Amino acid sequence: MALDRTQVSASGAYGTPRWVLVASLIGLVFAALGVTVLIDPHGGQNLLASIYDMLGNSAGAEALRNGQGDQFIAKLVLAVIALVVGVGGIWLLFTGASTIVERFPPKVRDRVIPWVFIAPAVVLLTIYLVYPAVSTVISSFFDPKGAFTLNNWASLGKGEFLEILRNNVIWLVVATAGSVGLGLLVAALFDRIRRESLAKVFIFTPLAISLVGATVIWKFVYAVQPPSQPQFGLLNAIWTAFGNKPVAWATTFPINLPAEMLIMIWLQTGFAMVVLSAAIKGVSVEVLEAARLDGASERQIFFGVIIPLIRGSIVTVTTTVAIATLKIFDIVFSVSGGLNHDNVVAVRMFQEMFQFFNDGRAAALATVLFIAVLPVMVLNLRNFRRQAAM
Amino acid sequence: MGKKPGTMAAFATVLVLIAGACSPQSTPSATTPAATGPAATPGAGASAPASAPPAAKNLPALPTGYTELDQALTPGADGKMPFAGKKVSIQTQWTGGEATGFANAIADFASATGIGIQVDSIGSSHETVLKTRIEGGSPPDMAALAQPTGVLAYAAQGKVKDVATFMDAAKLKAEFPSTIGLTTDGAHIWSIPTKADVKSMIWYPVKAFAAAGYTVPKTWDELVTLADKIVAAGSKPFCVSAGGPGTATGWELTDWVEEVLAKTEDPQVTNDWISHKVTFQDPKIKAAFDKVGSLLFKDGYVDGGGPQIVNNDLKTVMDPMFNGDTATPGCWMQKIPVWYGPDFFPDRRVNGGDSKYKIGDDGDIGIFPFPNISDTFKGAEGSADSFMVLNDRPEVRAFAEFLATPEGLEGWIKTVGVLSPNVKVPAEWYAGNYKLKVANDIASGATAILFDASDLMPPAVGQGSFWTGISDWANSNGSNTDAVLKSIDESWPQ
Amino acid sequence: MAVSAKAVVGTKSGSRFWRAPLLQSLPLRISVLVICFLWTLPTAGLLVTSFRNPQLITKTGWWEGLVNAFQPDQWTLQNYANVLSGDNMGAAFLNSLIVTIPSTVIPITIAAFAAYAFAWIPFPGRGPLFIVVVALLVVPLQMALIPILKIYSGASLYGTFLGIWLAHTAFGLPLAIFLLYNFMSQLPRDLFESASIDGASAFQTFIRLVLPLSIPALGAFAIFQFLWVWNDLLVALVFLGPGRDVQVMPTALYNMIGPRGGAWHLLTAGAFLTMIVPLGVFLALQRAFVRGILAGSVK
Repeated sequence: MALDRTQVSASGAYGTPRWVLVASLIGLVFAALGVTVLIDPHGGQNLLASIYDMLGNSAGAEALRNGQGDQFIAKLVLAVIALVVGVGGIWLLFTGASTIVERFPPKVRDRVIPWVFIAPAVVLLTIYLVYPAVSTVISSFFDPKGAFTLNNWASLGKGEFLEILRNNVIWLVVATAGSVGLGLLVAALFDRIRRESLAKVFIFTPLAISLVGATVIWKFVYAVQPPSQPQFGLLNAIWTAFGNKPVAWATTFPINLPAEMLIMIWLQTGFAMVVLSAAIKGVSVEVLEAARLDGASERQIFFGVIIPLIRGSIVTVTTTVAIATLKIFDIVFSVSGGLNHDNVVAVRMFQEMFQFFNDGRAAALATVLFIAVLPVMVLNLRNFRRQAAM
Repeated sequence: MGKKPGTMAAFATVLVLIAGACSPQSTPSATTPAATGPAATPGAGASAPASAPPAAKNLPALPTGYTELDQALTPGADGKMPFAGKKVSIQTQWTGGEATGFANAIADFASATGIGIQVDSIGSSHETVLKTRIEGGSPPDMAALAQPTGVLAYAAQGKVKDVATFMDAAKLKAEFPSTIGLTTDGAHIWSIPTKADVKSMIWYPVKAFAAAGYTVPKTWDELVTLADKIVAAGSKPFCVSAGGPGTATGWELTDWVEEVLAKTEDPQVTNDWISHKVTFQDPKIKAAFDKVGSLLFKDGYVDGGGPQIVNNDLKTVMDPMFNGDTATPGCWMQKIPVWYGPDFFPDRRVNGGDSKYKIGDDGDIGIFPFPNISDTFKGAEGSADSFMVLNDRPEVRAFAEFLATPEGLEGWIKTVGVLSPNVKVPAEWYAGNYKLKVANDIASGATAILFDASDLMPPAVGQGSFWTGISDWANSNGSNTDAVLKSIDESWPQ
Repeated sequence: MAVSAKAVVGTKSGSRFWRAPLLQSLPLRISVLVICFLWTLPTAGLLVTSFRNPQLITKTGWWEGLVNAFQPDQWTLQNYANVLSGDNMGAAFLNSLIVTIPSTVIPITIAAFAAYAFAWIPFPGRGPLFIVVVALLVVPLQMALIPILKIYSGASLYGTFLGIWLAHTAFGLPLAIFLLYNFMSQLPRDLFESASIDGASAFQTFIRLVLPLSIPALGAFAIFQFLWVWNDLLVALVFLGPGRDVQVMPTALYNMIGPRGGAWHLLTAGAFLTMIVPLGVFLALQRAFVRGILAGSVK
């Protein structure tokens, strides 16, 4: 950002100097060279080896090429190239392309520039998501031998799949509402305290933990031991302290559903908090002051002023969390494997695909997820349109 | 799956050969490893250090009977090894002791031929990563797989190379009489079965048994009597885990049912069960479930009962057996296959290094064969891992052929300890390994060896509804057997 | 400028709300403390466990470690020493950085340009195209792996850093575009009108106005993308492969622990070590949020 501001102060008026164009073209050439190093699995070693050769250190170069010698330095060289190419390359691409297009006649320029801006996104998304999505939908209509069939879809009407769909609906409602509601509450509460950043770190921390770590953490919460043994699981330690029998929280239906959803809420509340807190900070002080002067209570201000103003962000967060919840996989997979009437679509899809070798049905389940999310997206877009009209 | 032989009667003959090595005079024990056979590297039963190099090279003598392998081991006219500098990648799910064992097995081949072998040990993501790499068109050159159904599924998609096209099929069939059929389809052989496991084992604390005056049960009734004695003495007889959670499965419980079935019914019943000619609701299958339930879910037999079994972690479930350095066990018996061992013992699991607990009849932890139930049917349970060839290059062929030779597993057999289903494996290689001796006793005492039935059922059942159902069943302490069996039957793919 | 009023917020904490007298704000303080406590409790268990004697981890609850804090054999640093001295950890750390930083910056850049175009530059097909982009949020990752790997095998991108950057970029784009669009579309319209009167091109408006004003949203997404990539195991295993020279930290850690080892002590220590970097990023970016808002007010 510092760069932008110095540019503003240096040039003052708008207009792109010619050297930007030249520099970005040269930069792109270097970026292309960097990519060739990165594509080669031994790019780092080979490059450092060539440098050693130039410096006359042929022994070191030979060692590197044989997978010995200064491997760590080779890795560092590679890291530097990777960062320069990866981070710089993408900016050069946009800068260069925009600078060129700006030299077009205004009519052409205005028509082309939005496509320059969205082209990289559209290209990547087409390759990485649209193509797999379309081929998934198609393959849901074929059996393993390649013949057309509706069986993959018909079989989803069976009892076990209805149970899975029921669980997804419960997840969608409870885990989404829980995460967003708590996130909003936390964002609003923390906005009023002095050590806000510190408090936020506590709520945010779960997001920083890898899945492996989160699994271990909750294992130490839900662990169950026979009644004769000391309980090293936190929840059972508390539970049995009141004279109750230990409960297998993670594997007893139906208590395992809330137990697993709690993990999701624990993880997602931090996400909701970060986004909603930024939105609350965007509400102008003048609006709040005016409401206070009118004699509104803090609660009235929160529900009557703040929430309507940040509604767009709430919808965004709810959509994002809802989609993450629909796709819920890791928690169920690692806590119980979905063996105890707690299976969900994504886990079953994974099992069909990688354990049962039933790709067609896995594709049908994935398509169910697409379809399930459509109403959520429609709601969202309606919200956008209303905002645009405002 | 119906055409696949589930019975591995011949497997017994493989293991009978091991008996020679464990003939009476050697009284092998992991505690005195040096006393045994000349070629044996110490302490197979008890976590041998991987670094100890075997005295002799673990390489087959020329000619090996395989074209590319002979080529790989013969220097060319220029004195260089023909495949030197080539690379072969292989993906396995072996980690810990098994990974060490496999590394030991292939080290000499790599250095002798100059072929660089990259072993990708993926652990529990193995099947996912493998399928993605295979279908994505970037497969490893070779891969190990435990489920024959998986091998056959890849073969049906044309992703696996038929090893019969470059290896002598007759030789393979002669050397792997018991296991080659699992992934053979007509003239095609889709994988090389090189590693076998025997599952009919119960691990127990030797000294505590002696101190309490318990003897190893030989029959089901003796097992129940012993369990009652243990309960009366204020302890719990069995440690059982369903295998999860975390890697939540249910295979230990399905093993129990399969074991009891093998010991109560004709092997043909298991075969028909695999092909669903015999349904889960069949009285014979239900009887096996009930028998298992009568033991595991009986009050006081397993600490915490069925729901606790579902929650017990495979890694830690046997820890109570080590209470008071195995003097005061909290549980006394665990049914677990031959690959189990010191990797799981509490001290080594935590601190690394060697476990202070030795395996052996005169050690800390012993193994006895799963007691017989019927006088007629004394089946035992086994399983096998096999190697698929996914890329056809001369150096890959050479490596696959090497793994098919007895010497292909020699380094593993002699260090960490593993069973090879290859009948040409000299009996003395197993000498000194207590686990392998017991495995032999079990195999030679069995009337038939049955391959893990759930691994041969359609995966949607064998790794799907069977696991879900049996988890349900344990959670209800076996009170819903009929409903569970019905639901598994209904899930059988049409 | 229209933003200035909006942006003053956060400069002085406490000015935003009328501060209640101590007695009335006590419930607020207590509830904040309770929430923080509950949220941290599971993680605290992890932290305590990572320093405990491995023998005790599955014998007694971690809180017992605090109760008996002064027993000599209760604590150890060995868990961390074991993880840090683990095979290949240094190279894995570098690999993780090589993978994560471009995989965070590239999607943010691409998404910011795209979101700006979707929000403020009219062009034919804008609405439907945006719907498609956001709908892609739903594509389950597992379904995309095999088709992409097929492309990679042909384009020899398998096992390369470039390949995994592009994969992480594409997987992160729908969320990034969605979040940034929502933020950018709420920027005041007169901002763009005045820029256009000044003769700024679309690119200049983006660089000099939109980007600085979007720092909170950019920062928020940067955090999530960084976390996701840093902690990812599946995409790395599939596209980079398990090879040693491209191993990232989760892969290395995972290999060290192994699925059958049950090494809770290593898991807990490893989980904490991998947390340090993302937490640092969060703390650093949190400051950037505030600074971004301030920068807007200065103009």
